[in-house]
Amino acid sequence: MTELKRPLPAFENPPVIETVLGVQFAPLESFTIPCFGLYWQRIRGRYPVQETQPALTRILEDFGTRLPVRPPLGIELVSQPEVRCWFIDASSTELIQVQRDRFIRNWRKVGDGDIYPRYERLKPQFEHDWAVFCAFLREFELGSPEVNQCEVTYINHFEIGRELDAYGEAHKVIRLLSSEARSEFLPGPEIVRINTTYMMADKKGRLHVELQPVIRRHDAREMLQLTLTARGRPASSRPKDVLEWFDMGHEWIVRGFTDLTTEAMHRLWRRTS
Amino acid sequence: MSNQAVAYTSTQNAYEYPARSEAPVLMHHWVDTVPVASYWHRDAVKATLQLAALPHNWDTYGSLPPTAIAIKGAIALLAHIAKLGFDDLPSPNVVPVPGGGVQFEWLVDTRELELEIRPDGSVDFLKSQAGEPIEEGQVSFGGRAQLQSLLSWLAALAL
Repeated sequence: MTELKRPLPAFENPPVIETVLGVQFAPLESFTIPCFGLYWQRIRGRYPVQETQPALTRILEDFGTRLPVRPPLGIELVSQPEVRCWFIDASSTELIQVQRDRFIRNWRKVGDGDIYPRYERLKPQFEHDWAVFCAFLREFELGSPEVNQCEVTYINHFEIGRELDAYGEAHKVIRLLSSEARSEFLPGPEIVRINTTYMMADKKGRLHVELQPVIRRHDAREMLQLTLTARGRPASSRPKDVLEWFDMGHEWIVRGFTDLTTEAMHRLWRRTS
Repeated sequence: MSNQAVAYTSTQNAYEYPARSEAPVLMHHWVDTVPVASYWHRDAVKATLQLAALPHNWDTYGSLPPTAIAIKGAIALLAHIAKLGFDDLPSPNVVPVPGGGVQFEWLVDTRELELEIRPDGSVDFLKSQAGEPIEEGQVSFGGRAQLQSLLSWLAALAL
């Protein structure tokens, strides 16, 4: 359970390489293709680079009798093609993603000199960009977003040659795989993948945890990628409630990350609280 | 119908290799990594990515390095192959092709399979037996059955 009175764990050198703050809302029917260009004009000074991507499918955390599922592969006739536009800053470390039912803000680490900016900076940056987007929608009478899902994601990399020496050594990083839990017969694993889901307090969302071996494209380096995603419905679409949900999601991610990882790694990443 | 478009709720341009039981999903992540399915898959992916760093004139005949489209197509093809479940496949020989393509070469006993990813991302295959070509053609990305058939022929002796 969350313990709001205890300070959040903190690390001087956390292995985080990407963060995501995002909202999903009911599709804005009036937000047509030209609207992407009009919006870009509002933010182009800060985000001068644009790319077009396929649209993301909608997902909602369901607290009925089954875990959340994505819509199945299918074909539907629509009045316009669904697209997702990326707006990228000059440093290529900050990104806004927009589609008719999503607004997402990403930070990523590009070079070794890029330092995780901390949630205390990322949250007001989202608040500002979201306010600009909503003001744009009002000005052009495109509707008011009815937010039905908030999402916070943190992606961490454990490098082969730094935190561990092989894909099968996930126990060095992940507490629940610690060597004390090993059997007397099985050899060490060749590859480890983990997918777990935790219900957040009062069914306000779910925390999804995924560990998988990956290769980084730009330099072909091998690593384990740990992704923590907190997803759920805010109390309302008001910015105050969206940001409050982000705070809760962020807390679950930080405390969850601390619980899931080993003391040895906490020392490597220099835990301060 | 004239004012309508056809939209796919998922596309062939999957950005993430999924677990075998799941349909491809698009991710909202920005960090660019390739999920690893097995050690042969890892070795092939690394070798493919390293081809992108080849210099111009790598073959001393003025050839360009593999195109970004060919590299991306090769990585996606490896993901499709890994998804088919050939965990014990030997790792392919990964070589650049003059003109900007990438080629995967498997040799199992007397059977040889070459998959060439062209600079535009299209894929051709060549099956050979004891050094003699026996079948060639184009591979379609939607052709799961075709890939399955090619690799099953190759793997029959590897098992």
